[in-house]
Amino acid sequence: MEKLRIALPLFGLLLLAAACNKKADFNYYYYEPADYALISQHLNLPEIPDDYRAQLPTHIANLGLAARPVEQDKAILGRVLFYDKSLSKDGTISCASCHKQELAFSDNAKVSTGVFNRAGDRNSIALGSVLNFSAYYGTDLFGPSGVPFFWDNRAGTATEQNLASMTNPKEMDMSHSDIVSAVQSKAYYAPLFKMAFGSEQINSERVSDAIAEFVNAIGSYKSKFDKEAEKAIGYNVYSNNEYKSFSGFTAQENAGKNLFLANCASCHSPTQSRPAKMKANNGLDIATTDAGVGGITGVSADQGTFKVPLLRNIEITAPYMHDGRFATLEEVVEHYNSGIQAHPNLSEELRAPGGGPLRLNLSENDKKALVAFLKTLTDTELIADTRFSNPFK
Amino acid sequence: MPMTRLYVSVLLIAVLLGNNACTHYYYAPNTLQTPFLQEQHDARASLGMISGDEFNGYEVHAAYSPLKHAAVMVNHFQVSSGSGSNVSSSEDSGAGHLTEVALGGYYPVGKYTTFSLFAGWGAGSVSNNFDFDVKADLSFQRRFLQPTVAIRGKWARFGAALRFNQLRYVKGEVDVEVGEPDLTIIRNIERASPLFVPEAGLSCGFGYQAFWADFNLNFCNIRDRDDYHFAYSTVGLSFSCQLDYFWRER
Repeated sequence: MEKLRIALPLFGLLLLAAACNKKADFNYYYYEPADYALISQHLNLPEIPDDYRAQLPTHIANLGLAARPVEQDKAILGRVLFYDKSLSKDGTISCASCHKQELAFSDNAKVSTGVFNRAGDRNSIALGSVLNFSAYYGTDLFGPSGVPFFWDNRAGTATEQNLASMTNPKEMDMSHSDIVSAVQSKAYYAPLFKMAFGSEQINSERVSDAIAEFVNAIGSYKSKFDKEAEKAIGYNVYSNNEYKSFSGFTAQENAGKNLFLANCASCHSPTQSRPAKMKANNGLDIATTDAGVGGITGVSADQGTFKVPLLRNIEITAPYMHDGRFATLEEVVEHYNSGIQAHPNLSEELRAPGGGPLRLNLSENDKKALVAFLKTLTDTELIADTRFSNPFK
Repeated sequence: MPMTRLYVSVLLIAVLLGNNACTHYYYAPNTLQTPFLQEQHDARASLGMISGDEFNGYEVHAAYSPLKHAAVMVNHFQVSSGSGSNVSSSEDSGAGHLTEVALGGYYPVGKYTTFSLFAGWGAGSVSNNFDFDVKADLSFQRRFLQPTVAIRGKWARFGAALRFNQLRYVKGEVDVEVGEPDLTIIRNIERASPLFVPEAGLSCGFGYQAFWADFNLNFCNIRDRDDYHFAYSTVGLSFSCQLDYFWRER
């Protein structure tokens, strides 16, 4: 008995010592486990969701621009829909087919190919040319000052834009009911819709809304140009009277920057923040071959005018212009140097003092410098950003 | 003296009955059981209410001495806050439990005083609900060493104990939508586990023969407690029965 009396407390100490030593095993999840198991069968979505909030650099924020808060769950759903080829009539085309991430969400074809190999009408606009859609795109968000969508500015909102593309016979050729059926046929969409909208109900408006939110999250603001502009905050680097050099630029890039500020920035924005003009005719042809904005408004002054894009990621978004007629940046520069045509609606900025087409008379070194500067607008982080990549397995 | 007793009573009752709002805690100290053992076959069982800052619950304690100077002790602790039992509610809520067993020895010194030392192991969990389907569930194990001194008279008794815990969180299922600051708190717990958690408890009871009522105060004094959101203290009111009274020769 005496031994037992000693043994019992000792056994307690043994219990104390021998208890489990397992390391903490914490599982952080966003989706319900069963939902994530279903989603993971088809999609490479991270278990902890990506953060789609944009942090615009200070040199942009100082201009009064701010990125609207993105609804995370909608953007996640929108990412899946953006890459889903079942949202096209023949199951071969998704939004990403014509907006390829590796090309800053542009297409390297003059005009993109839609369902059943149908050729589109115009060159695919690079989504990566934009600073951030949520900062100034859309008349729904910004009223008349909001930048509209498409080359001819015909869509005021991102939802209007993507529904137009999905239903365009030359692009995805879907009806609204086709869109709903395609999405409903895939079980993994149910939890994604529930997360995004609070219920699993699927309709074309929600599809469009989610894609728009994903597109709103896309933006390019981490180029060499941005990094240098950030370092140069406080200097009036954009002044037309005195151009300050960026310390991290080469002499050629700085020379190109000066040429750009002097000759191009009045339309394409010195800060690459938002275009200075909503539309312009840039003298590609002497007569109207594509009505552009005029085809929508019916106004004669708009005939042959098109959206003025920002030039972010211009290096990787060839071919250029609304019809993809120029294959290289050198061709583009040469057009503005010596090839501007006297279209009746030619933009004022491209007219010489007498009213005829402007001739820049750039030297070969000038042209090379301008191209070198344009290449500083490439944002390699955007094209490698997994938040915007194809989620399908 | 009567006024002091009145103030203490009012304070305890207010804490026990009030406060149903919700803060998400990831640990709270249960009552440090004072076994009040003096002889072989002494046995007691108690049922009590326990309350802390924004949570309430109950406790069951039992102790038995199968051998002279040696005993076994069992504790169960269950608390909830907010609308704890209704996890489908949109309201924030929380719930936790702990069950533990301990073995140890006790040494009566004189007629009224007993020293004891118990070593034990327990397992429990805490589940915090933040919104519809947004939860953080953590499970943990606790090893402890508890020295206690108990003084018992005919009508009143007093206990003081220390408990040195090693608190090891073994598993967590955390919806990241719990948001901040809880996400950071949970990550702190995961990173710091196992944690050394010293606790102290005071017990004061009144009764006669087999039946006693005890007030219990328990304190948890972990360093950087706010980093882990551990409850600092709990108070309890328990009713116990000295079971040995019924089988012991009088």
